[in-house]
Amino acid sequence: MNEFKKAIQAKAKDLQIDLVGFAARDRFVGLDPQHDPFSIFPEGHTVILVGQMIPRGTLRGVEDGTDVNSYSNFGYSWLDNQFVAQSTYDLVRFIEDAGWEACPIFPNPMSTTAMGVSVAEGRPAPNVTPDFDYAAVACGLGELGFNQEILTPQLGHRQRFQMIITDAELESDPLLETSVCARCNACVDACPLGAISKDKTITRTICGKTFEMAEINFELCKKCPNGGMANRLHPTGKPDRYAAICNRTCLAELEKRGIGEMKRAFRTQEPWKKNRRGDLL
Amino acid sequence: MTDTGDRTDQLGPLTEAVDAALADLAGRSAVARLWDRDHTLWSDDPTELADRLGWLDVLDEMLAARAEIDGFVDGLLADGFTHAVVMGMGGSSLFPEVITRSFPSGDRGLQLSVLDSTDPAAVARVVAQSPPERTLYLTSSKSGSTIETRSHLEFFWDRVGNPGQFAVVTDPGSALADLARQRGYRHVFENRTDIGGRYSALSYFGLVPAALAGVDWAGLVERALAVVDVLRSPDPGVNPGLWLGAAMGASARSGRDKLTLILDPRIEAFGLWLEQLIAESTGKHGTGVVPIVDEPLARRLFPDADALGRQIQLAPSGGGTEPVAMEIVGIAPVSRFANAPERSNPKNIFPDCKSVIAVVMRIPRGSYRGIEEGTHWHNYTFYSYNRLNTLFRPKLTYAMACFIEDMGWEAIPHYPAVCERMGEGEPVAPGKLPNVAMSVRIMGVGAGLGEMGHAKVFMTPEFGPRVRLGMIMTDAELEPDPIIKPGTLCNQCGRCVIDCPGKAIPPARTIDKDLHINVGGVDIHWGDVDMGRCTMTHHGLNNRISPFLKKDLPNLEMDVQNMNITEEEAYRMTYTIAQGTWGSVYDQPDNSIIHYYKYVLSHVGYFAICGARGCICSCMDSLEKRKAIKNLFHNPLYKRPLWMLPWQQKEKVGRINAWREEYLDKRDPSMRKNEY
Repeated sequence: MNEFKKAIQAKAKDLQIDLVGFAARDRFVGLDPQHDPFSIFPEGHTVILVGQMIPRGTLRGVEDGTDVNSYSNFGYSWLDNQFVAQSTYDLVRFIEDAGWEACPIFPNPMSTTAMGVSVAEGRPAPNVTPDFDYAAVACGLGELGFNQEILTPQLGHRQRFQMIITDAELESDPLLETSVCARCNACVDACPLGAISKDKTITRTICGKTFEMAEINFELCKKCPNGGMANRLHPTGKPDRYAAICNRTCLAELEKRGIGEMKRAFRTQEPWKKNRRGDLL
Repeated sequence: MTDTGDRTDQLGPLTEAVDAALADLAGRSAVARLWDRDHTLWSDDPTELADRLGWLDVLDEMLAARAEIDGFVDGLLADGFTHAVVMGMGGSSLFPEVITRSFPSGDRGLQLSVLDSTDPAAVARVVAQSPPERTLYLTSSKSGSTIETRSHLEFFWDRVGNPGQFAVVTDPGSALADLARQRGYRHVFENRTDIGGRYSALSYFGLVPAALAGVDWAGLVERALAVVDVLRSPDPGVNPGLWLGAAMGASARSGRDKLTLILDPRIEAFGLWLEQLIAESTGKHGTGVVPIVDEPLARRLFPDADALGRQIQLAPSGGGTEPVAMEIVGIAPVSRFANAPERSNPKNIFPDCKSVIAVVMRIPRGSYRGIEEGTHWHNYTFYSYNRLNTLFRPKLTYAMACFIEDMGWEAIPHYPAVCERMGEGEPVAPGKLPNVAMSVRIMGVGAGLGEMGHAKVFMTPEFGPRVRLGMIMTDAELEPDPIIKPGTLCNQCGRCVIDCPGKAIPPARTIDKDLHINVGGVDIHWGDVDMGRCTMTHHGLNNRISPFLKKDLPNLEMDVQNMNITEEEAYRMTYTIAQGTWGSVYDQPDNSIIHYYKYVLSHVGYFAICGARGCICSCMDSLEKRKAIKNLFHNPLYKRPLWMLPWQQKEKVGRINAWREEYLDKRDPSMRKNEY
C-alpha cells in the first residue's frame, strides 16, 4: 500500500497540488462525530488532505489598499470552487481507478452542521462537516498558530484545503515536528480592532499536540475593514481572515524566518489600517 | 517556395510559420550541412554532435557485414537454437521491439524476446518463454556499463553459464567487450562509436536482433539506402524529412508542442521508437516536442491512417500531460438520429453536422457515500452534479472542440439540457426552430458509449450509471462506434424499482410498456418513469429520504410514493420551497424554509437530495456484484441495510400553531400566558 501512497503523491504533484498529507483513522479517535470525517465513511481508513497555494500576489492589492478582487477570486472563491475542486476530483478519479473508494469533501463551515435530523440511531445528523483544522494537523501538514489559523512550513496560512476519505489503508505522515508560529504576537499587535486578545488564550489538543491560541472576537472580524471578510458561504461561518491585516502581518513575519520566503519581501511599506468606524489610522 | 503538395494544405494557420522555417533552413543550407556532418548547424561546440552522426553513412557498412551477421545466425540454427533474448535499454531495446512486433518472422528465425525492465515479473516472463538450453542471450549496450543490462546479463550468466550461448553488441573497448572476450562469449559485435543509442537502429544494435528474428534485415537496409538521395535534397517538395522537421519545429515554436502519432496498426510499434527519438532529441535546453503514441481521439479523427507521415497532427498545448483527458468518447454519424424529434435533432442546430461526439465523465462512487450513510449530502451536489456538469466535463469538452477546430472542422459543444423543459420562443425564420436541445443520453446511445437502463439512466461499460454526459456536433466525418446492444448492461433486475424512494420507476421486464425509439436502426427502450415523483424526490420534497425536510417541516405528510403530479408541477413546488423565505422564521437566521436547501443552492446553484438511491446506487450494487462493469472496487458499495425515514408523524399536531407554541414555550414559558 505504501507504493500506492507514493503513486498518489506523484499524481498529486502532476495535478499541481502543492500540499498532500495522509492520516489514518486512528488519528481521529475521540473527535466530535459531527466533525469526524469517518462519520461520513465509517469503513474508510485514511484521510488525504490536498492543499493548493493562495498566491502571495493575490494579497498584494489588499496590502496596497488598491484591489480586493484578485484575492477574493483567485485566492478565495475560484480557488475553492474551481481550482482545488478540480484537483481533488482528478485525484479521486485516480484513487478509484485502483479500486479504492474515494469520497471528496468540500470545507463547509463547521457551524453549518446538523441542518437535518439523524437518519438512524447513533448516526450524527447531516451534514457532518469535517474539521479541517484538525485534519491538517493530523495529516502532518501544519499546526494551529497563535492566530487560530493553520500554518504550514511551506506557505504559512496561504493555502486552501479539500479532503478525500478513502478505504485504502495508507500510512500516516509524521506529525509536524517543527513549530511554524513563533508566538511573536505580531498578529495581536497588527489588529487595530483589538479582536485578537493579548492575554486571554484558549488551548486545543490534536493528536497529542497542544496548541495555545489567542482568544479572538470573530464578530469583530466579520466586520473587519482591514482585508478580512465574513464567511462567503454562511453568516455563522468563521470569517475569512486570510487577507486581513493580522494574517498579512503574520506572513511578513514568517518570511523573515524563511517560511514562504520569496525573492522580494512581501511587506515593503508600513501597512494601512482602519479603525472600527472605517477611519484611516 | 517549392510546392509541397497537399501536406501544406493541411497546415491551416501554421502554414506561414512552416514556410518561414523552410526558408530559414534553406538559407542556412541545413540539409547539405547535415550530410556534411557540420556540427555548427546546431552548435559551435562539437561535443556530442560531431561524434554522433555516424548513422548517416552506416548503411553501406552494414551491408558489407552481411557475412558476419548471417553467418552468426546460421551457426545458431545449426546448433539447434530456437530462442533469443535481447537485453538492452532505450535505444538498444526499442528497435528490436519494433522488429519483433512489426515484421513476420522468416522461416529461419529464432523466437525473440526483448528484456528492458528490471521488474521481477518481466524477467520471470522472459525466463518462462525461453528454454535455457536452446536460447541465445544477446546483451546490447553502447557503453557496456548500463546497470540494468549488466544485471540482466549476470542473472542469465548465473543461470546458464555457457559462453556459447552469449553474445554482445557494444562499442569497441567497452567493459562489456572485455568481459565477453574474457568469458569466451560466442561473438562480440563491435559497433561504430559515433552512433548514439536511439540512432543505432540500422547498425549492429538493431540489425543483429532483426537477423536473429529471421527478418530480411538486408532488404530493410537496402530500402533505407534507396531513399538516401531523396533525403539529401534541399527541396522540401522532394525531401519529406525536411518538410516534416520544419513542420514539427515551427509548430512547437508556435505553442503546439504535442505531437500525436497515428500509425497504421501494422507498424504501431514503430511509434515506441519514434517517441523516444523525438522526445530525447528535441527535449533540450528547455524546449522540445512531446510525442504521444496511441492517442485514441486522434485515431478517431483520422480513421483512414494508412501511411506514415501525413497523418501526423499537432495537438494544442494544454499544460497537462495529455491533450484531452476525457474519460470516454464515442462517435455517431448524425444519420443515426434521423428519427429524433425536430427540437432534439442535431441537424436542426447544425445542418452540416456529419458526426456527433458524445463524451462521458464519471461520478466518483465515493461521492455517494455520505448520502448512503445519511450523514453528508453536500459533496454529491458540489462535485458530482454542479462542478461535474459546469466545470470538469465542460472544460474538457471545450478543449476537445478547440482541438477539432484546430483541424479546420467546426465543433459545437452542447450543454446537456433537459430538452423537454426548453422554452418555446419565436422562430427567426420559417423552418428554424427555437431552443433546440439534444438529449445527451440518446446521443450517447447512438455514439456507442452505453445503453439506456430500465430506470432511464445512461449506463456505460466502464462506470455503469455513475456518469454525466456531454456532446459535440461537428462537420467532420468520423469513424463511428457501434451501438451497444440493449440489455448488455441492464438485465432488468428491478433493483432500481424496489429501492427508488419515490416509487417513480415502473415494474421491470415489461418491455411492451416501455418507451421505445429507433436509433440507427436499433430499438432503444426504457421504463416510463414517473418524472413528477422523481423530481419531488430528487429535489427534496420526499421526507422519506430528506432529513432536511424532516427537520424543518417535521409535520408535513406528503406521500410522494402515491402522489399524482407532473414533472413541471414538481419543479414549481420544489424550487419555490428551496429558494423561499418566510417573514420571520424563529429558528433560522436567514428566514429560509428549508435551511440546507437555501444554503446549498446559494453555494452550488443546485440541490440533489435523494442521492439517486434506486436508479444509480442500487443499479451499481447489482452491476458490481455481477462484475458487469470495468471500474470495480475492493469493497462492496452497500455496507448495511438502507436507511429510510417515516413519511408520517407518530402524533397529529391538531392545534392552532403548535410549532410556534413550542418555540415560544421553550424560549419563555410565561410569554403565552392567557394568549387564547
